Amino acid sequence: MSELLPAPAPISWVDCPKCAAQLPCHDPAHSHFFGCPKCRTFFSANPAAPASGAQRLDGFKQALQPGPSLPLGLAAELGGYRCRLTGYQVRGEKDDRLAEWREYQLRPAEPLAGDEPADFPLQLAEYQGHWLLIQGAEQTPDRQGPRAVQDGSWEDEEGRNYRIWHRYKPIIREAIGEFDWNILEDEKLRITEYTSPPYLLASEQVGNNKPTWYLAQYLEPEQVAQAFGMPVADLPARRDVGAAQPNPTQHWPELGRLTTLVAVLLATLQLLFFVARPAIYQDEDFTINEPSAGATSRMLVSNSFTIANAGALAVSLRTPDLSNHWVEVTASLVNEQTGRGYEFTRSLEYYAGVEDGESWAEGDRSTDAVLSAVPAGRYHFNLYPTVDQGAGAVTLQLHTEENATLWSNFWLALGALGLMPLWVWWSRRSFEQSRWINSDFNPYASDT
Amino acid sequence: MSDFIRAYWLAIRRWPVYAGLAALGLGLFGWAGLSGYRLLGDDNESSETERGGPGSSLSGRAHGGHGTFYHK
Repeated sequence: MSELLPAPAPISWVDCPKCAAQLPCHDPAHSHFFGCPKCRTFFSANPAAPASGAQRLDGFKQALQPGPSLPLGLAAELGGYRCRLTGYQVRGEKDDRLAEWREYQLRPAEPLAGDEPADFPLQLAEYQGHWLLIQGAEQTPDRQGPRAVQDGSWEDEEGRNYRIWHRYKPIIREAIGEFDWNILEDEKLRITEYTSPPYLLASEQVGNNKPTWYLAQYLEPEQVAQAFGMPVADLPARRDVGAAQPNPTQHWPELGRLTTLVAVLLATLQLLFFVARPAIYQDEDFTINEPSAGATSRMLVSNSFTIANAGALAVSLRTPDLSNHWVEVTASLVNEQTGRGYEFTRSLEYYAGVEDGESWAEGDRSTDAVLSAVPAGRYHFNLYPTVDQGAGAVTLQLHTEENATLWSNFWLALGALGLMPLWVWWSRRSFEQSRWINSDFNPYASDT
Repeated sequence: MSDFIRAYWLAIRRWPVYAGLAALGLGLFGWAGLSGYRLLGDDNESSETERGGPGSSLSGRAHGGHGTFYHK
């Protein structure tokens, strides 16, 4: 962290050719272009040779609000270097009247020994509260061949994939402070930006000349505030999603990997249950006779069977010859050693006919039930059927499946363990959709 | 193999809450599978030991059948 230092006395001064105001110059060896904060004149001058005179190049109509949020002259550590803010400009786009952002020129806070390093930060840019630290790009796409931008995307040597974000021609709306190049010349540029959060790669090209590439890295407002030793509340409030703002769920691939592993483990366990404890099936048929008037319904008792291991018992009741009547059966599974009972009741009904020449049918001749965690032991079923009047003799088939596979457990576990990844995936997608809604190259355009 | 383990170790460190929930969920699923316990609940309507006839769970049309059974 760099401490907030008072702006040091400038090394030299230049006079505005229009209003004669004196402008500070912290880097007279390089700064030859100046924007007057009083009369908004943009002019060229040589601080090292004041006698050569200043030349007015342009004039900006008025000071744009809210003005620089970082005072010129402040020093801070950015990108590993001590930098000083020396110039400020407001830029826009020729084809978009509303787009407007601010760029701060950075120069070494203290004179550097030897040549300026290639990775020295050049500018700090702010758009809608989103900050980018810009420096020269070390890796750039070729103009042609396999390492060129293809279909709007390019991958660097680290495997970072850049996608085309924006293409525009800049205009300069305001400039104050000192600059080491004629920023007005930038209005001839055609700029193309590629994003791969937290990075933004930009090419600046005049005509068909070889483009110059820059790499910008996203800075959180807190990082900027800390670097300049000022409260974050003094910086512009962040709006929308920035072009290079990191997605909060940037570690989604790791979660996806974990989720896949969990799904594979669940499926493996389910398969193991299926293989290690195969299902045992038993069938038994009964006949339900309609009781005569005044008689009692007859309870039916199944053959005894042994459940070797505690597990789920799936029971199916079928009445294949039931027609235009109903049957209700209470089935009671009784442990012959402990007397413990497990009971359920099911109704079966089936109606069919022909109406206006079309046949119809409703109801079901079969029904299922699951008794879970039935302990090992010897059991039989007591069945208590009640049959519709006039149904006659009805065949009741009892089908049991010992060690039944509980697919509902599998789907429940898969669903529960998939909720968080699903939520993260959805948040990630929403974030990206919000980001790309500001781009002419929105890959989600067809989704919205 | 070590890359495989390293990748998953990194994933666990990035998402410790999910890793914990996944371990818990897999454990619960394994226990339920071994004991034949249905997590969504089963169709057993009886909570008491019984040898008797049908309980009071009869619904629909067959109410007239209550108490009219004889047992084996």
